[in-house]
Amino acid sequence: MKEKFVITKNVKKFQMAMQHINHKTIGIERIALVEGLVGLGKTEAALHYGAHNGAMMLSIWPRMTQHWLLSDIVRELGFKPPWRTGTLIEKIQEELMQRPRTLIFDEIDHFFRDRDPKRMDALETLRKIHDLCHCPMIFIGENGIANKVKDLSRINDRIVETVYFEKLEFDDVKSFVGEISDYKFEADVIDKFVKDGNGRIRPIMNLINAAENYAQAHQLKTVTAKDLK
Amino acid sequence: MTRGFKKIITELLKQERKFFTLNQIVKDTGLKREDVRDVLIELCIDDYLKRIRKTIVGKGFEPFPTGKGPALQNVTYRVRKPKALAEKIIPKYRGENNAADRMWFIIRKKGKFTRRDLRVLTCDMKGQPTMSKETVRWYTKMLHRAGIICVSGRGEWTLIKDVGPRRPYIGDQVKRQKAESRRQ
Repeated sequence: MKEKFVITKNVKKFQMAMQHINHKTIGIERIALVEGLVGLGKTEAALHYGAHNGAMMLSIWPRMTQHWLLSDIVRELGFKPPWRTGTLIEKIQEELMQRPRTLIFDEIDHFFRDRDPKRMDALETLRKIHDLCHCPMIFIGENGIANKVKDLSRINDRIVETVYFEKLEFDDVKSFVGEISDYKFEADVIDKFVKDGNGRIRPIMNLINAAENYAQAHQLKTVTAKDLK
Repeated sequence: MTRGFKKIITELLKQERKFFTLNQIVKDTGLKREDVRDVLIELCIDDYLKRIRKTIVGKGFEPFPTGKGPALQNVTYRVRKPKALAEKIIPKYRGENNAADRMWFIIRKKGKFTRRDLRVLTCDMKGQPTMSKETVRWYTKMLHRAGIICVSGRGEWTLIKDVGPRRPYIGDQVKRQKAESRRQ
């Protein structure tokens, strides 16, 4: 398998959204929401973007409280978190004002568990930080997160772009396989990948890997569905 | 840079001293008196330290080279800029968001990773690899030597010591390894 980051249609949409929220016009909001099923490459796309643009990325934990979240943000910004919540916010504000950067929050759906007001507060705090520092924010969550956010009108108003990560179809998988694999795959194999992998990148990658191993073991250059039975 | 420069500053900062004498530093570092004196004079000129007083220690004379030198002086210093002094020994970054920074970002976020992950996720925005296999191999090897990551499976690595978002400086590891191999 080639060591290459494949720019799928989902990644393209993600990168476009990043361009849209990284503007300098004050007064226009800069929050983007990314949603999609598990295994579609949301986190990978965010990691790829974050690594190149010096972004701060934080994965939300289940039952994460406001203080925990703020402490983690301060730590991610490179400081020792102070005890008081007020001081934490001051520290974040000071740092983001001086050195603005994109903030990426993964698995944001943990905030919506049980509709606990403590976790809603944490989300509202993020919105407040966005308003104060005017830094771009990306919320990544599983399918249906956009509907959940709609109930929180203050946050929903500030979302300028929602990116839906969709399942890969036959043509997408074909181009994906063509870019990433050293072997040739017949159309029936690609069809099998789409069906077995359910259009998700993670299982498709595993299937490609298995097929390549088979091809290598049997010294094949082109793999057909019959070979994989 | 004078010999023992880093060691002396580290010793000064370690005990958070505000006042200290030349004799104390010589004793703690185990360096030559002349070397320590030269470093402290250099730091005084750069305004990091201030010379407060000097006391003549006994009636002895400096033994080298003629045996008839000036009397031994024990100078007391005050640290004027501890923060600036600490910054003086922090290794300088070659640049922001370079290859090592990108790899460190991915290592921290993934926790468990392979060398392939590092190469793939550091590809440019068009998806083409930006760093060679050798660079990735060297970086993981150095982090492993520094005890920051460990091997957790076949071709799989795990982060065991998260030192924060600023990537760890591993340049000294190479020097240490070379020095150790020379000694052996």
